Amino acid sequence: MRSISRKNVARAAGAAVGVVAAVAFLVAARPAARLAPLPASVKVTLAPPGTLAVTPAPPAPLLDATRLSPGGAHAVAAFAVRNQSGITLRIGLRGTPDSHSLDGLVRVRITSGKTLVADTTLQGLRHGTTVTLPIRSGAERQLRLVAWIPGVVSSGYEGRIVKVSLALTTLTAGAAS
Amino acid sequence: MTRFTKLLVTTAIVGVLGSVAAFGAFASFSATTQNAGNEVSAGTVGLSNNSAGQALLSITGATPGGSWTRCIKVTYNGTLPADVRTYLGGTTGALAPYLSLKIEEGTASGSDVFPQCTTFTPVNTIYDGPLSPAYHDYASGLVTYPGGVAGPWTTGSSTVYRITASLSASAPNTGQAQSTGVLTAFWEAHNQ
Repeated sequence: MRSISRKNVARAAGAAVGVVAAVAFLVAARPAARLAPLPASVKVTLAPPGTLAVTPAPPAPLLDATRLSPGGAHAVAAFAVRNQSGITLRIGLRGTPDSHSLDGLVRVRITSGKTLVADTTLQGLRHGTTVTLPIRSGAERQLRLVAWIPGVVSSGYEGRIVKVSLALTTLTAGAAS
Repeated sequence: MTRFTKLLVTTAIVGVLGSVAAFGAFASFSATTQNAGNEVSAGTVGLSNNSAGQALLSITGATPGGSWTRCIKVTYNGTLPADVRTYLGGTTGALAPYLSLKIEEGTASGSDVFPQCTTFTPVNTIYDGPLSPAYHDYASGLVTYPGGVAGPWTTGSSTVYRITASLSASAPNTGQAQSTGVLTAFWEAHNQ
């Protein structure tokens, strides 16, 4: 009797170990039910008129930010605009995102030296900048673009990919120089 | 424990494990994904130049034998590969038969501004002859390539044109105070 009882105990213990091992294996192998959210991507390409030459010249992108997330690192790009017309021009910028999905979520700041040209969202960039920069014939200006998603944004950005055509607009500012 | 009991217990254990496995599998398979913002938008064709509205040639007091050279840079802003042709529009005046044009396509460094030709490097001569009304629309226009190199125009490609206008030395006295007429140079792009 005693030997049979020991055998049963051993069987029960073995079965218990097997069940625990099987459950542990299943739990470990099971994919996480909640994945980390994908970051947003924003690609900006300049679209200059013939009177302006820009660096980086299209179709090379000015900015290719593939890991934008709320409160995350800011994406920064610098570009140069040269007036190749024969007269002084005032330049402005107008962005045309190919989708509205990040319109109110991504903030954009454009500066030229100490001049703030734009501090708005992608949606605001659709209306164009109100500040214009004068550039003499043959002269060049350096600009800087920063894009980021503020930390207060909680959703709506995940995995979104938006391409922005950033057009440079010109106004005649003076006589031939 | 009878064989039947053992079989029953084994089946029960397999069933329990199968249920746990199924729960795990369905828990992961029931997750969703989405792909928003699907949209089809047309490509574009677009051309612009660096003249900022200024005339390429605006000459007064021209004399027989005179010659004038100007450059203009044309840039393709469209997204679709395109062919480009150039032609003249407008009504020619009494002096037009005595004016000849040479149009060269090529490149220039970034330091030139409209209508300078200081750094122009010619690649092809696409026209050299009298001011002719024969080239008056896209169908009759002169084929031109980006940078003078055969191939389609793509986003950001450009060509600098050096245009030399010459007034014939044999222009008659009746040409005095006459004009060629106001002419417009066109560059027209059609997607391929």
